[in-house]
Formats: sequence, C-alpha cells, structure tokens
Amino acid sequence: MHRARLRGRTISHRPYRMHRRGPKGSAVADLACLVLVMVCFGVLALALRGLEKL
Amino acid sequence: MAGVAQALVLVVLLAASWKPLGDRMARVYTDPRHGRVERLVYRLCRIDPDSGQRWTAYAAGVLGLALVSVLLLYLLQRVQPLLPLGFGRGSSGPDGPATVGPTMAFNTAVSFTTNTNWQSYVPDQVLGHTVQMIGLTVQNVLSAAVGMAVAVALVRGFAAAGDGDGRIGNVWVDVTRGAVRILLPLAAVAAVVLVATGVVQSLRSGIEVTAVDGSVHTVPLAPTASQEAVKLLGTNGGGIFNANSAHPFENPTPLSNLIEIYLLLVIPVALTRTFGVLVGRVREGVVLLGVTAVLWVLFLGAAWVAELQPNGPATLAAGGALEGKETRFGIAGSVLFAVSTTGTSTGAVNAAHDSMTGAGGGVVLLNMLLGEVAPGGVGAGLYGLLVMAVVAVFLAGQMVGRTPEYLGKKLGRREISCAAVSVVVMPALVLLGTGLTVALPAVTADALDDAGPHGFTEVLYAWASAANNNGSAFAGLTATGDFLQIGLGVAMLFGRFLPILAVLCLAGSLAVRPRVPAGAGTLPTDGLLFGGLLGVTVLMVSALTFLPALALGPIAEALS
Repeated sequence: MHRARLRGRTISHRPYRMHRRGPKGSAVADLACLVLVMVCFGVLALALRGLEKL
Repeated sequence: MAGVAQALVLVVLLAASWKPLGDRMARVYTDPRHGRVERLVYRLCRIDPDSGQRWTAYAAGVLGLALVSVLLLYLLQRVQPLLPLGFGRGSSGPDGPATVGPTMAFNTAVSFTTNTNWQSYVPDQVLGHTVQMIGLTVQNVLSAAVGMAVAVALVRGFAAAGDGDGRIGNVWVDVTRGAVRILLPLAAVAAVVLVATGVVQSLRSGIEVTAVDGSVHTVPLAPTASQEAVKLLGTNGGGIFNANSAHPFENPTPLSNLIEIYLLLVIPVALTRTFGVLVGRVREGVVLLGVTAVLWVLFLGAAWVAELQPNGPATLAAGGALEGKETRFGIAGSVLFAVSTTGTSTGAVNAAHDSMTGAGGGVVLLNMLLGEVAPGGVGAGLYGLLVMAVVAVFLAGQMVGRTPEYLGKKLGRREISCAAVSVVVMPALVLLGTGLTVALPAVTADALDDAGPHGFTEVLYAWASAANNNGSAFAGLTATGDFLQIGLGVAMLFGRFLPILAVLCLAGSLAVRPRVPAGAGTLPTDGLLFGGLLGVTVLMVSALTFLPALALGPIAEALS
C-alpha cells in the first residue's frame, strides 16, 4: 500500500515539465518548507526567551 | 521457556555493562583534557572548549545545531540525483530519477534531527547510500549525542554547589565527546559483531536473483551493519530497509535479535549509573534504575501475556498471536523487542505492531505515552526521569506541607514550572494532533486502512510516536499525505526541543541554587519509598492524561 502510493504519485507518461509539481511547483514547495522550518525554530527561540523570563 | 531464557540473558548482559559503561561515560563528561580529534573539531569550528555556558547559550547551541542539521538534511535529499551511489532512487519515473518530494524531505530531515527516525518513505527504494551515510547516519550519531549532552547538563545543575554563575558545561564539548568517545567507538564494535551474526554490509545497490518460477528479481543491498549499530545504540530506529529489524539483512537470527535489543537498551540503562556517579550518590542512580526496570518488566509481562492469549481460531491453532511476527523470533523475541523499542525512544521494529492483539498494542502504545522513561532514549530517558523525580518530590512536599527538595536542592516556583512545561508538551501534541486528524474526514479517508477503535489506535500511535520522538509505526496509516507529513514533522520538532529547553532552563536554575543539608523533614530519595513514589507518579500522570484516548482505541478493541 505504502509503496504503491509512493509510485502512484510520480509515474506518468507526460513530460516532466507537465507534472503537477514540475520545477516551478517544487521551488514554491521548497520555499514553503523553508519558511515552515524557520517559523518552527522562531517559535522555539521565543520559547527560550519565555523560559528565560520565567 | 526459551523466551524467559532470552530475557534473563539480556538482563545479565545489561547488568554486566551497567557499572563499566556508566563509569566510563561519567569520566568522558568530566575529563579536563581534550582528545586529538576533539581539538581538531574545536579548531575547525572555532570553539573555545574550556569556556562554560549558561543554560541560554547551551540551549541556543542545541537549537542552532538542529536548524543547520534540518536544512542540510533537507538539501541532501532534494539534490539526491546529483550525488554518487544514488542508483536512481527517489521518485523515479519515465523521465528519469527525481528527488524526494518537499514535504517528505521536510518530514525526514526533522525526523532524523530529532532522534525520532519516523520514516514515511521506503528506505531501500527512495534513498541512495550517500544520503543514508552522510545524512541520516550522521544525524543518528549527532542527535543521540545531543540527548546525552542535555541529560549531563541537567545532572551538572543538580551536582553544582550553587556558588558559581550558573554555567552548566559547553554544549559543543559535550556533543563532540558523546559522539567521539562514546557512540562511535561502541558503534564500530557493534557493527563488526552484527556482521559476524550475518547482517549485510555492502555498497552495492543490490543483487539479481532468479526465483523458482524463472523470474528475475533485484534484492537491494546496503551498508546495513554500520547503520544498524548506531541506529540501535543511539536509540534512533530508522531502518535502512523498509521492514526495519524484521528484514533478514538487518536482523537475521535470534542471536542478532538479542544483540540488537541489548544495544538499544545499554546506554540508557548505564546512564543511570553515570547520573549516580556525577552527583556523588550512586544509590540515587540505583533508584532510577530500579524504577525503569520495574516498569520495563511490568510492560514486558503485560504484552507477553496479551500476545499469548488465544484471540480467535487462528491464534488458538498457532498457540499465540503470530500474525505480523517473524517465525525466527517468535512471540518472545518480538515482544521483548517491541517493549524495549517503545520504552526507549528507538522505534525500530522487528514485528508489525499493528498486528498485535488489542491489549498488546495498547501496552506498547502506553509505554511510549509514559514519556519513554523505561528506560527512555539516550539521554532523553534520563532527563525525562529526573523531571518526573522533580514532580514526585513536589507532590510529596504538597502532601506533608514542606518545600520540596531533591539532591540537596530546594525546588521553587521556577523549577516546578520548568518541569511542568517539560511534562505537558508531549500530551498536548499527541491529543491535539490525534483530535485534529480524526476530525478531518479528508485526511482519514486518504490515510486510514481501518475503521473503528483499531483505526483510532493507528492515528493515536502515530502522534504518540512523533511527539515522543520514538519513530515506530503502528502501520495501517499511510502518512505520505501533506497534512501528516507536515503535522507529524512539527510534532517531532516541538516534542523534542520544547522539553529540552525546559530541561536546560531547569538545569540553569538548579545550578545557582545553594545546596542545603538534609533535615528531619527531607524526603529520602535513595530508597524504596521514593522509588515507589516515582514509579507511581510516572504511571499516574500518563494514565490520567491518556485514559480517555486509550479507552477509545486499544481498550475498546481489547474488550470487543
């Protein structure tokens, strides 16, 4: 099940640039993930400051 | 009978390692000299190894290392097609190999940095050897070293005389020493031992074999033994094959199975001795060891009995619940592994936990929900237990109306607040995540294979595994959708680092508190009474928090 779903996501006979997540889509998703990581670590930095004032 | 013999051999091996390894680790973290390799690391990273840090600087170092680790690991996965030994793995299609997808790369990067090793991908199909070796395996060492460093920093807080300026050590020195002097040497020896038992070690992509029907199949190979050793010693758990320690290349025989269980328990068990030595009261370490041992035996017995109970004609005929278990390990070898992997933060599996009986699955789930303190992850188990000890003496102090004390330190509002923050993070993440998931039909329709109590247990288990940084999967839940990839990733991140921040704050606060001599009203913490109180506190906090959720899942399934 797990494997089939992984494959089902990418197997396609369309050219790569036609994929729903082509290079441009991937760049946006990469940026979103980067922002998510920075937000999470920002929250952790705020938690550190909050604990400091405890 | 063979199962009991396995358990006894395991206990004897752990008992034999407790003192030498515990003392060795205590010496590593107190040695004033720096090794040659360590000095090279410090010089390259421009670190002054002789300067101590206050808790805020120590915590900032932990967070900084984690941030860099997540970003590098993410990048490595995304550029995998450009790296050697990739074998075209990743999401391969007609247009050639592609990279690991963004949300999966995020989930995996966070997972390995936080010592969780939750894997939402098929390792032997998605990742090549380079990402595995210079990405995941490096994090297996680093994340474990960070856990030990945080635990030692907390112990220094307890051990400090209270007349200094609150410095609790140097995070870079502690992490480097944990990696160079403890994890890497032990992992090297363990890898050779595992190879001797038949575990594969190869840089080839695979071998072609011809089946009896004449069809040709490719069987993947990997540098398994080297990864397997640190996967277990560092209580990481991420397999190099999809079947993890159920795969015959990772865990081929009952002997290798026993060695693997020993490897995942040995450092957390020995750290109780290290604690006792560092605070100058070995009996305090014995009490912590006793509590973890009693919890481990209780959970092992409960899971063992549950898996031996006939639960339908198939199990009746087989003499126990053998579905999802490897016949070479049997029920004993599978239950020993399952309880040890969920009692530590390892998460490696040698059987399908989804196939356990309702009660058996509930036991391993509850084992994680205790906060993984029996005996817990490398470092994480010790600091988790010490936080629970603070809660236990606070409760005892409330009962007799005296200021709580532990190891000669009065515990005030700040210390109790830190302990409370550390304890409350995990349940909040687990319950909010589970509630949100089951409230979203679009997510459950895509991800869940089972309905009813069993399906609920699958969701609860996934969030418990992520928030506790365990990483084992109950199976039955397809976690490749964006909601679960991101949600579980965030739970791993906060489940790891929010308690670490609270623990380091506690360490900094304790370090400046003066020692007070024990008085007539001081609760002795080196005896049976306190051990019992600590064990009951661990069980009660967990049971009161999770009983309603457990009733909807494994308890309902076991009673139906």
